[in-house]
Amino acid sequence: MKYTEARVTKSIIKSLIDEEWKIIAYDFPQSGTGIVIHPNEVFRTKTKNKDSFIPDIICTRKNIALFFENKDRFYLNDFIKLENIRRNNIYSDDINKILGDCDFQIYYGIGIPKDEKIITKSLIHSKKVDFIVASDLLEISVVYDSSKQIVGKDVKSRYRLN
Amino acid sequence: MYRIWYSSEEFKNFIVDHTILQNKEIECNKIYESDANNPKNFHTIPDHLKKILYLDCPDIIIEKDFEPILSIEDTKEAGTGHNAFQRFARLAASAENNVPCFYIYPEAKIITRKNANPTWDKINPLVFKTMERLMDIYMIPNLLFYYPSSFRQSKDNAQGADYFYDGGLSHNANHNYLACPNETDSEMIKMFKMIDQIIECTEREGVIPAKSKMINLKDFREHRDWMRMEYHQKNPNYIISSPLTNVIELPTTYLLNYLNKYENDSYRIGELLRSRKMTIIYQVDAQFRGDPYPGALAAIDYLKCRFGKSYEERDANLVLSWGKIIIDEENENFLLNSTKSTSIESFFEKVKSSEKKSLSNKNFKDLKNHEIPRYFMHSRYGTTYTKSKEIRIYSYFADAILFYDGTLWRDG
Repeated sequence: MKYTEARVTKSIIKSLIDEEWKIIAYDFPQSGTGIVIHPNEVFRTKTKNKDSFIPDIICTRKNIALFFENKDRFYLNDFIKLENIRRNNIYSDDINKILGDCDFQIYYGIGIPKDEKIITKSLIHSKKVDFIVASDLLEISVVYDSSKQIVGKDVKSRYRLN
Repeated sequence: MYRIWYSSEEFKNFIVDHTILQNKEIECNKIYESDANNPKNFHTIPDHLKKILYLDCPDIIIEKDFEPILSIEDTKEAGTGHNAFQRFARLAASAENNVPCFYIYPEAKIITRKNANPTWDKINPLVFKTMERLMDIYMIPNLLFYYPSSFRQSKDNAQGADYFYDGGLSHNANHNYLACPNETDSEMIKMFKMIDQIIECTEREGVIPAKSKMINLKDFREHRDWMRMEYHQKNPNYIISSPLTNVIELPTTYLLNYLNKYENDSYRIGELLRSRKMTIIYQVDAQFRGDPYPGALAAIDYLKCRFGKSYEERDANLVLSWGKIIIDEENENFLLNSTKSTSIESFFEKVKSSEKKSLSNKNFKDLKNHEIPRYFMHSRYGTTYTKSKEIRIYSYFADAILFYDGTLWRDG
């Protein structure tokens, strides 16, 4: 089956649900779903939607929250976008509203197809994000996890989130 | 045997698993929207489906014995103003091809605007009247079902509404039906029941005879009554709403006088425009673009112009103007003021870019094997399916399109 962004996202969602993550929101092409996250009021310029972003998946388990950007290919801009979000924390107001009162540790990562070339390119930029997950559309593998908090296993090993 | 053409696998499963289709022999195929956005695959779609797809592509088409018996459109957009009509060309295409159509649309959706509290953006009730006009003309079901939401429970408290972060919409919790409506909602249960009735009626009466009988089935009559009631209840004072607020009606003489500059000793404007006393002009003072205007133009046709099944059967011309009309009563003419300087060249550029995608100029030896059937489609239909959606829809519905620096019109 051909990789598409929608299929990658759907397969990651299914694996996350299997592993008892709670899906807070999701978005993929033509889904019409998704939560728009705006910059905090003090960082807003011109219109409210400028610089806003719609994460492809937001999920939580215990005190961990994961934010995914997914693609059917290597896409450097997603790495850069997440690097900026991690560094600048300019979306905290909306994120706090969405996640509620609990004190979540938040991790930002990328979902990609399980393709050696795409994984290799992605790993070059892995320091920009907290984790990278690869999907073969049946199950997912964690190919990078900086915190070890999410999966607690070695980088590049092939196993499902647990 | 049933065939289901779908754009989303989850939505296809959602429909099949909750209707008697789950017990039928079915074949499922991916639907490809147009040759413009899927040149590798669109030509493989059966010809009779291409006709439905000519204007726009629904989310699902269900066929029995190679004859379409239902199309379904699912949207989660807020339906205020023009937006309610964004998908209307899909509904019209279905009706024009004698195919019943179900439309799933939120009654309201929570929208948060800058420096304001979240509010429910409610559906433009005119969409009910427009669908009623489609049913009047084609006598084929064209029914709207509300996308499940918490609107009725929290009308006055959007901030505290259930599913707030999903715009108040209740999506399906089952991951097999991602981005589908909540199947336990009464509107969805009613819709499943009516899909079953279409299938049963088709099997009992035969595919073609069933189509003329469906609209008179009890549940269908009652749902149509409910749609009429929704229209009246949501707009008790019959206040004019979009897109009709952007419409003016003029004697056709004004249009003919405006077009007079294109006439000369060897050319005279044709009989089609002259044959109608009145002209409806939809004014869009915006940059040239698609959504939501193509669907709105189609809706205006059915609300103000059409009395029959073909565009020839209009009692008023339908004109799309890219700018505001300034009426000159003294000379029975008008001026067009485009504050965005929307040029006819933007239309031509779009048409030219679709021509570039055509294979018509290629030699046989240059074609790859998989391109041969696509070439054959182009040799028959030209770039009919290759043009962008807005070009297809504007060219189909409008009798004339006005720009400040040029005009297009039909002679026949």
